[in-house]
Amino acid sequence: MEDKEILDKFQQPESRNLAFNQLVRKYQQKVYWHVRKMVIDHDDADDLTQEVFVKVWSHLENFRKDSQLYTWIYRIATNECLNFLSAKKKRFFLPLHDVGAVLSDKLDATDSFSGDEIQLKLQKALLRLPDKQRLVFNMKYFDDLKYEEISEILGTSVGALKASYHIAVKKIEEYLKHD
Amino acid sequence: MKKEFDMTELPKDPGFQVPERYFDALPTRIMQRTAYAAAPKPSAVSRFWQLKTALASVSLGAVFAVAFLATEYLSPEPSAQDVMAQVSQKEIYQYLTTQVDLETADLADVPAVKPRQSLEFLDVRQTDIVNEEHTNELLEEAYEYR
Repeated sequence: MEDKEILDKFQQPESRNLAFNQLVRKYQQKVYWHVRKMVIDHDDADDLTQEVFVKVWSHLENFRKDSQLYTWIYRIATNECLNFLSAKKKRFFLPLHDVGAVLSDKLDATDSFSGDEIQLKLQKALLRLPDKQRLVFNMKYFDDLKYEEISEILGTSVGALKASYHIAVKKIEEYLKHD
Repeated sequence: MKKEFDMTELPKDPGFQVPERYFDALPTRIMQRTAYAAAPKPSAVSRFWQLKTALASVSLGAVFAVAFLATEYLSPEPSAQDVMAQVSQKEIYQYLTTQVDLETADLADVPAVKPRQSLEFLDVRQTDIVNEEHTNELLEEAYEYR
């Protein structure tokens, strides 16, 4: 079902639940994987994914059609991730790099990571990046989003995003070369 | 010699796994927390229509209330007593004697009716009453002499 059709059906009380169900089925994997790459742990990603759709449900009626539905959902998911990581740092009084270390340890400990050695190394390299730089890299590299779309999601200029991605690639390259 | 770093050789799959059938069950769990949990808040448009309907109902009620009070107090219906007060005793008497089938007991409820009028209604002459009194007197005398 196209986004426009989902939105039109959501406005009708008799087809609202059906439309929302279609929306969830269409975007659940994108949201989940976007969140999972940021928080690493499956249970955290599961909680946050549900929270994202609860917020989508609450605010979809006021969704302005001047932006695309999937960028709007991505923005909600991104905010949820950043708030979660920020709360985690505050809760455990952790500096930025230590949060990366904690998540890196989770990568080693979890049985829900099935990647090979290079995949594990890449994830560990990513966890050394600042959250927003990691977001940009994930959306560009793994999700194949255009800079214009990432710009709409993060509210950052295309130029700044290009610079951020370039720096992220250099840092990853550096890490993989020397680790 | 160490190999040059090449981004294209990096995997596009991040390497995470999810529990089996996780994405089959997730929509139901989300629907239970959203659509099936509670009705969504009414939109500004629907709230406007609800308010409009409520105001229309209240206005209609107010119109009925004003109309009722105006009917009741501004132009009250005259009571039965007021109407009867405007009818003369003579007219009442004439109505009762000509238009209504009455029994003698009914006349007891009409205090304004004079004895003479009662007799006229019953078609009894004054002389008959005198004779009856006289007959009674004679009967009493007869008992005394027994």
